[in-house]
Amino acid sequence: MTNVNTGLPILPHGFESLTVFADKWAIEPLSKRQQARMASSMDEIRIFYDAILPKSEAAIVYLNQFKLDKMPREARILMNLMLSLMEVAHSVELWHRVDQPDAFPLERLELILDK
Amino acid sequence: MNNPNEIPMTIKFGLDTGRIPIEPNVSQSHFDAEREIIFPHAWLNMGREELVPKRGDYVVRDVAILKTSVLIVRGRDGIVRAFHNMCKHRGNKVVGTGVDHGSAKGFSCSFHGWTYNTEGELVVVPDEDQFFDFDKSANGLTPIATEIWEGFVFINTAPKESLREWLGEISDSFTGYFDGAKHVASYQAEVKTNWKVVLDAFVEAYHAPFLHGRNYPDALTGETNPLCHLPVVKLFPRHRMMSIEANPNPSLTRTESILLEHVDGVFSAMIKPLDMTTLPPGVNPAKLPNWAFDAYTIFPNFYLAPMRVFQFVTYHFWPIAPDRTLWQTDHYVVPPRNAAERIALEFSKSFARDVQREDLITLENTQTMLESGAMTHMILSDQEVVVRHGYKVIEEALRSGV
Repeated sequence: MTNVNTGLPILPHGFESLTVFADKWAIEPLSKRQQARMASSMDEIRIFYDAILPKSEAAIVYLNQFKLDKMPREARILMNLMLSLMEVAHSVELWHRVDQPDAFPLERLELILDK
Repeated sequence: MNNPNEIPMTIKFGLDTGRIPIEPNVSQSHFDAEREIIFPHAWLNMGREELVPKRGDYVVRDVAILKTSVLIVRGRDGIVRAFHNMCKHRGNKVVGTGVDHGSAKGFSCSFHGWTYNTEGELVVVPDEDQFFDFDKSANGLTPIATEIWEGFVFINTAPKESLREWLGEISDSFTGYFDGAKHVASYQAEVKTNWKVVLDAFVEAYHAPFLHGRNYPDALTGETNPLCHLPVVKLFPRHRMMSIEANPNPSLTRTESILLEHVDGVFSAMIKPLDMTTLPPGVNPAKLPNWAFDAYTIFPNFYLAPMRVFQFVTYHFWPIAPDRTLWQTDHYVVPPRNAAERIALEFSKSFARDVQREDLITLENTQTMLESGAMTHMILSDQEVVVRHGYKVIEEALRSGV
């Protein structure tokens, strides 16, 4: 579902400010989120993190009203943004860089199943 | 030792306290001995029954240490069987290269069209009259012994005992625990490291505050257990386990704090009281209130870890060469009931992945140096008693057979 005027996806009421992040971060599954993080600069990650973290408490409360397999489209977009926050949280909170140093390269981990 | 009055675990278990030779982790002859003496007679886990949920479903796995390709299929009769993926005619693979799973009514060899049903029986031989003294019914696919324990499929190319005998005390300790889990992630990587070196990294907690200090500042360590000492170790004749405790009062990141308002725990923080009433005897055997996970090593190469956050995690360490291992991890969870649990699960999954990446990179560096020949032995502490037991079991098996 997109806004006819802007062409951007519609997010639930109260979360409209996250609309600008939907194209890049409202993606699934984990392998795509992993790729999105690795393809981002630390500035891009931080801007996304700073925008969504203060809304994440409200987002969880909002999303909890739906059954996981029966989420309306706009809720699903918010859900995927929250899942991307889980992917980038460590970059901001622990590593202060996009990926952790001195770790086994992500591209050598073959993701066989990803649900 | 912390407490001079306490008998070290290593002594209590009757193990010697000497240094451990490095040669088993670098030598081709040791690897060949493991391949010839241990693996053909070992019950090897191939995953869970859900690999082949429906009749006719099959998977193919190349198992380098058995020098074979294994076909696992659920027959029309509902029974899961394993076979060498090899046509009885002239030995071609029945399921060809490039196909690793599917669903079939039968398997037809691409070479001459010999066809087997999903129970492995040979049902079609083109131009059958041209063969001499030939009995189709005696020429089904070559079976590999297959047994199932608590939903886990094990195979054995030359069994000397049943799977239940192999598992011993463990076999009755988990009744029902693994049922109903949702398989949410599976990773594999070829690691340039001996399989035992890979395994060893996951069966001691001494490294946690150091190697994982950045990711896990104090999740498993705290004022009461700053060096992550093992609260519980059990050694079985071939297998072994340890329990790991969580810090009940860990420092939390902003994301962790938000998640913990809505869920019982995440991979790096398990602070809510644990309901232990439903845990079978094998899970958290000492019923530690701050339990984080158990690490069972099912000899030789299967690691099964019931966990507080995931329902359980498995590792497989598949030897390829003295310095190469196919490492696989699988995450199984209690199906999330709401968005908060689903989001927290994602946090735990990505966290587990990143912690495992720290383990793996260290191992490749270790293997490189083990092969330098600069040292002949490694040194193990009492906290690495599980590692020590692993070498003892392997050396005994090589001496007296499995």
